[in-house]
Amino acid sequence: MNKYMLVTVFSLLLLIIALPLYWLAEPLRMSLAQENLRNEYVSDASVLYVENCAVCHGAQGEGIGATPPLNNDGLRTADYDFLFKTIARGRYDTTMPAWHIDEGGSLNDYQIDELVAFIRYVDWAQVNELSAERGLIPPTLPVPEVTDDFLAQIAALDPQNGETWAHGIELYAANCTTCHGVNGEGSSLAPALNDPAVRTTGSADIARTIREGVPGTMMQGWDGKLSDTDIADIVAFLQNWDAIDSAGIALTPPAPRQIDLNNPEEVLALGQQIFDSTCSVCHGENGSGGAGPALNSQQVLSRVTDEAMKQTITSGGHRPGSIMPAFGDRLTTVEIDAVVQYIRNWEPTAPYVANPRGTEQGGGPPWMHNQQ
Amino acid sequence: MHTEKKSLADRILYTTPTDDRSRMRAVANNIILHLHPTKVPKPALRFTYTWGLGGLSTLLALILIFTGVLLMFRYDASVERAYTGIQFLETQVPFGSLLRGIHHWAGNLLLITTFLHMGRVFFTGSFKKGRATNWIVSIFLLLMVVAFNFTGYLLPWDQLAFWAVTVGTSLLGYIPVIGAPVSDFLLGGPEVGQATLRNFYAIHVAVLPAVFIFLMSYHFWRIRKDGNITQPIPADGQRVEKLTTIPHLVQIEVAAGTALLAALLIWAMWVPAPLEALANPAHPPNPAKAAWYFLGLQELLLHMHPLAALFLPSLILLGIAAMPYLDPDELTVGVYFRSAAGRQTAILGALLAVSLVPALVLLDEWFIDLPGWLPTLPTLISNGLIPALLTLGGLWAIYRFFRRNLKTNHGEALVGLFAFLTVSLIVLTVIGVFFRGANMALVLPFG
Repeated sequence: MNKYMLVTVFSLLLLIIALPLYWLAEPLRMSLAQENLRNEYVSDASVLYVENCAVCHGAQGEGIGATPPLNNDGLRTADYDFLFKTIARGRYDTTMPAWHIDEGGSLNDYQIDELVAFIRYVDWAQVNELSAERGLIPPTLPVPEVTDDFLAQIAALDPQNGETWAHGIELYAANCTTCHGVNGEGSSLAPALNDPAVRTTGSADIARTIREGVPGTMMQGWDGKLSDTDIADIVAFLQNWDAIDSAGIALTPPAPRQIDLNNPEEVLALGQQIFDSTCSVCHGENGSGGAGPALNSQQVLSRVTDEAMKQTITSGGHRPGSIMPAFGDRLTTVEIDAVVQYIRNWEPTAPYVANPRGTEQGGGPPWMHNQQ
Repeated sequence: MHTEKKSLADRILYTTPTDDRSRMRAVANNIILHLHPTKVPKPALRFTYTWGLGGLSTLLALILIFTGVLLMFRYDASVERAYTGIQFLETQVPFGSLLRGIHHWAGNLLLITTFLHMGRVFFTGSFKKGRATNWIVSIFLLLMVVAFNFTGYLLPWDQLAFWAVTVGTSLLGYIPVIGAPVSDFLLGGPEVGQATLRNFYAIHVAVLPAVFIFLMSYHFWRIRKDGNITQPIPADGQRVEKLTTIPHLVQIEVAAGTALLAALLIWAMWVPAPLEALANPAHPPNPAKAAWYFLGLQELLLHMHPLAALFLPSLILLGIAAMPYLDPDELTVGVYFRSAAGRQTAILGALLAVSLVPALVLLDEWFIDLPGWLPTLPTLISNGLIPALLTLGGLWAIYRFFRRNLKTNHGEALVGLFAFLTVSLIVLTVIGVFFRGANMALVLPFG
């Protein structure tokens, strides 16, 4: 056998070994490739979702206000055509617009396919995380809070019609601010309503617009969703908005805050907000301690690293009997980082031995417990 | 007339003929083997003479036709479905990924083997002794391989495809008068879109193969008519030993062919063809590079006016095509580098290219600024005519240097110049592929 024969035999041998091996591994390779492709679709669509959909459907697909939630099995198992067509063409009589390029939207077939895969397979906690990383905290719509005091103030403006106005603004705040703006200033979605042109329009015309909607726009008909008296009250409020304005009464929006994650002060403020609303119940105001240990102390701050703190917040307390809950599902890493930075910012001024268990918090010697 | 009666078993179980006479008849009577002469000179069988490059290119072309036809069954040349079709092929079709991998790598490899084949033919002077026609045909074949690769590059419709073709075809726009109409005709409009995809697909699977198969057949036929593989002219009275094609030539071809097949298949199993994100005309990648085999040209564009960057390679290509007329000395046919002195000039030319080209690139990046130094002249002159003339002058100087200082003859100096030019192209391509980062700035490829 000469060298050419050897090369031939060796090459053939390689082929004979390699091909069946590849054949055997092919089903596994294909299923892995499918999984990778699915993940690719979902992660591409996550970006699309955060950019386009999270404003209405919520950062976790929980649905905001009248917008339906997406994070449920009903949609996950829904027909492909139903999901695709809903996204592509919008839903008639709702605020869901058509997203397909051919329908005047901005997405192509491929991107809508990605969004369908996204609805079916996404892990919503990761989307929440992604929207937080992009600085959208919390991504809620401007549905302002309306207090009884606020309504009473309006009712007091006019003895005759004040109650009607108050009812109107309450309905407005609950249903209309998403598009028309918290103070009727309008948005890219809908025209301004706190406007002389609206006030001079006849009440019958305004009521009809609300009842029937405006075809070709995102204004849906509210007939059936709001009663005729409700609509009349809203009209009355719209026509007298200037009176309410001139009394200096206005709705305050809990608008989504865009946080510059590179600005330490903003991050610190976010940390403080979360600490005050979530942590201070147990850890006390400014970390002075309570049901949970005091954090504003060198005992904690000089011993516990940031990483350990994040670990505890994410996974909960590790000591036996600890009542520290895990916040990993409820807070994003951005928020947890902010809280840790806020806690860490006490370190320069924290007392070496605080009064971690002061008598006021149920600490100290037993005989002093009742001496307040 | 051969009238020996054969049994049915003998007809089905083909047995190799054992005597030289029937071996030669077997070659002459077989449609494929008839491409070969019945006997070949013994020195022509030396593997390091041809490196099997022509045969390997042919095999690659056959593999490409076979896999290409299979790929056509699952491909749809529409911007909506091309990319998802590839995704389907990669994830749902058994052996789909392997098929695409083989086609992709074979296509890129064919570019390399044909380039090397042309180099081999040049260096052995195999364009001489009545082979001028075939030399020019082979240059067309090489250009067609480039066209095949370029049109095929677009078909997956991913970011790589879209932008490589956008950058590549934008070069056409610099050709005066005919550039824009030709570009519009090829792209089916001012930019790469649905019409381009259709055009490129039709060109890739119908126009080019039809012409290519015809030219390839003509190329083979001419080789036989021109007297087969070139060999040095034997000294007076010397007889060159000849061996039968079966088994001496065929066994080498089978060995090289199976080795290539095994290597290609295992490589394609190991490294699947790349597929980037869906083409997005709104988001160019940075850097936006042409296909790798055009990066030498793109590198040239960074240094001179587009017209000069297109003019120089065209002129050089014309010169290479005219080689049979520039170097008509028929006595050196079949001798690598013409002579020992020619070998030295070739090595020197290659070394010169490896040192001079990077030095010039660096110099132009940091120091030379012709349009800045000559602000009164239009850039077509300051950055086009002047660098083009300087380059041609440099080539002339290199030729004179070989002639005078190395005491070489005309043919040997041309070998040195050719070595310089081909290695320069390789060096420029390497710089374009590995040393150009964001905004086409010079970067180090590692870290």
